[in-house]
Amino acid sequence: MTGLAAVGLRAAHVLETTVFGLDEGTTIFFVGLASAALGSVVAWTAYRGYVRNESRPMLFLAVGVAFLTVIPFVLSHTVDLATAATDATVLLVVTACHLLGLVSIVRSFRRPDTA
Amino acid sequence: MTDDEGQEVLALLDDEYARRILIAASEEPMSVDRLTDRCDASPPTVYRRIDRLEAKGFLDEYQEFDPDGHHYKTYSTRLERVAIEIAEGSMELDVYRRDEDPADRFTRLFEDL
Repeated sequence: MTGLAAVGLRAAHVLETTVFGLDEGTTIFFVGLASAALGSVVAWTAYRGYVRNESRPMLFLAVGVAFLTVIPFVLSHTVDLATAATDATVLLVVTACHLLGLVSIVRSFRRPDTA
Repeated sequence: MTDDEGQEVLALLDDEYARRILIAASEEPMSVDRLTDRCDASPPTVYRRIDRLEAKGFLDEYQEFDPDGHHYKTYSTRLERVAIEIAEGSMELDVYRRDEDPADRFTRLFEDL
């Protein structure tokens, strides 16, 4: 058995393991929910920073964090329910969200005084 | 708080323009221009009060960046409460300041990157 296959097997074993008596689907949901919740706190704080200080970088940061955490989580649990999308489509949507989020955060590095 | 410090706080709060600035800037961070409008005072008057209020830690200062490169400052009120207690032959004065809003701290840290 190659080392890679062994790693794969071990990963599969980890996935089958239940956490706190929950099956992996439920565990993934709650871990995702926790990141989405924390992400929304960060995004909301950044958005308030934008409103209170009229700081455009904070708006881009807020949008970026939202696209990295909250929006992929929501879409990954709604796209397949609302449409006949395959897992690959859902994965594409989530990955596209991550890309948009990172683009927004990179954009937030630009300071108005250097623009 | 020593007598001198208490004296300074009371003198500062006795000033009508200082109070107007504190009240206006408690809504949201405001520039000197906006404070001048809101307090119906001249810019030098507002600047003088801001210096005194900042020295006492009653105002927070933020640097704003304009797209056209013109930088200006905004101020928000940190002072929350002043308590004067008189009992048993002495007077005590306590000043309570608001913690900086996490959103403002986050903005300041991110903009300073």
